[in-house]
Amino acid sequence: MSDAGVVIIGAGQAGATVASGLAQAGYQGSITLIGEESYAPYQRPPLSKGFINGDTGIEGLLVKPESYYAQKHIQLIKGCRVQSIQPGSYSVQLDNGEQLSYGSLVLCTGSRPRALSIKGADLKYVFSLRNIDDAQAIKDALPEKGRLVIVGAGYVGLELAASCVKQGLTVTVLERAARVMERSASPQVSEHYRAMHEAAGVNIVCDVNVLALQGEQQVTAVEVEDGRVWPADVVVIGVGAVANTELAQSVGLQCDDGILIDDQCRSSIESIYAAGDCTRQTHALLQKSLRLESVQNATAQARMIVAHMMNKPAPRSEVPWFWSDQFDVRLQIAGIVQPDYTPILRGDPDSGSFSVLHMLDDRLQALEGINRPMDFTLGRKLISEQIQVNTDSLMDESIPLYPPPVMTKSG
Amino acid sequence: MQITFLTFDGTPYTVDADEGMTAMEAAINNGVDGIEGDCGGNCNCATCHVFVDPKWSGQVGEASPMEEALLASRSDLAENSRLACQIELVAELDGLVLQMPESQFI
Ligand SMILES: Cc1cc2nc3c(=O)[nH]c(=O)nc-3n(C[C@H](O)[C@H](O)[C@H](O)COP(=O)(O)OP(=O)(O)OC[C@H]3O[C@@H](n4cnc5c(N)ncnc54)[C@H](O)[C@@H]3O)c2cc1C
Ligand code: FES
Repeated sequence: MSDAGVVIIGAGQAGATVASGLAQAGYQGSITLIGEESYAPYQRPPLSKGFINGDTGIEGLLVKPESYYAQKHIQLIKGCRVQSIQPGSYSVQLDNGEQLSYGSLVLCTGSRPRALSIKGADLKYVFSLRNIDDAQAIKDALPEKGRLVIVGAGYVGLELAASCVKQGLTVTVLERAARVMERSASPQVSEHYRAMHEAAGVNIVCDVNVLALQGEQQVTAVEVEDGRVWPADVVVIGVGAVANTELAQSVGLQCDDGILIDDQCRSSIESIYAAGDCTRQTHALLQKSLRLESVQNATAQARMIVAHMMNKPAPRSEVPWFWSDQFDVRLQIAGIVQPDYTPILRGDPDSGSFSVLHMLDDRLQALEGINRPMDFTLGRKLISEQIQVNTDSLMDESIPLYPPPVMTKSG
Repeated sequence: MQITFLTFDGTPYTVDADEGMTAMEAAINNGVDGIEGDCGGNCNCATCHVFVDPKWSGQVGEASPMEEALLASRSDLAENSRLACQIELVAELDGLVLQMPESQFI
């Protein structure tokens, strides 16, 4: 490894994990972690949950206490954006004019909320939710008993809806698709979540296309295509995220909705790695090209990079997983739910605890567990090992998912 | 109060902790390597796995069903396994000794 050390661009979940992993593994060169936000690396998941509720403060979000970085000889540069990369001279240019040399470079630039190009999107009290400042601004803007309209019924939107309806706000969620969480959950789970939100008082409206946000200076209402209008004090747009690949593209790194990386998280240019939301990779177990947005993906890719740099054995590839907490219900998803899989229900949805297992030719491919932690854990093993299983035994709740009963080919 | 974290080869790290925090927070706040805590103490990731020193197993108590399920994902599961983020540090746990599994060291 070159003396110039490791430079990490983006001080989020992935960037922090690369830095701390290198320090822990005894990396001898310099470690520089550069982030444009004014905070030490923090966790985003609580932003739509505990932070909005006031249960968690900024301190509680930090991946490591601020003092950690100096203690481990990691140079953390906050509030600073990397403007350009010069792969020829192994250096990066910061927006404060400084130039830094690297031996290895790691891009952990994350993703940003997709913008909605509609009339009124720039009005006051219209927000998206990606970082602490967004979450704080939303919190500050929400009047007591006010009206919140959320555009987009993905995880972030629904988690925010759950947190806010609990605080006594009037919450409406407008979704273009026919069901909530359409992109990553099955119809069964969507239906369960829709019912749960409605029971809690959230107004869920699907199949609507938002046309414009109304208001003079500040937003007053949301207008949809069929002419209906929802009055609003605050609007939050949550229509997905876009990978931050501009920096990578500017130096010719191969990108395709995400920086393309190999199984060791190396980009198409020598000495440049990438990890987290900004990447696209062929998943080693699933053999699918995926751009994932999850804590597990960010930390797993970060640890792969550390192992590779330190010549350590590569960590075992894991089935991708994700969680979402809404109300007091925990959704855990393992694998990638796809429409061509055959869904099997395990447990009774009315009991509030069930799983949907997604099968392809007698093999489990994905699992959605609602308050079902043991199914989630054992299901991950089944997905990872691709064992052939008997569908009837999967439906029988008295039989644990793993190890599966021996397959018998009886008539 | 104080807690001791042992690395897999037995090196002790004794750290100061406050009552009410979790053992995971005590480790992270003091820069102890070997407890990752990827999910921020949410009982989701199982990267804060510890083995409770047998002398302390009585005081530390039992894992909840959610924790138990997550622990089952660990290939190094043992009888005295717990998730550090689910161990709340109450006064009686002053002096607690927890060992960290090798797999949590890169
Ligand atoms: C509200 C919300 C809730 C979520 N809930 C969950 C959940 O429940 N479970 C789950 O698994 N995942 C959840 N996620 C997703 C998870 O937080 C992300 O997948 C994770 O943060 C990705 O980490 P990352 O390091 O790739 O990106 P980030 O954490 O976004 O970090 C990227 C950082 O890079 C900085 N940056 C970008 N470009 C530059 C540059 N040129 N120079 C300097 N700095 C730069 C950015 O400002 C940012 O700080 C949630 C996300 C959000 C927003
Ligand atoms: S920190 Fe994730 S389970 Fe303990």
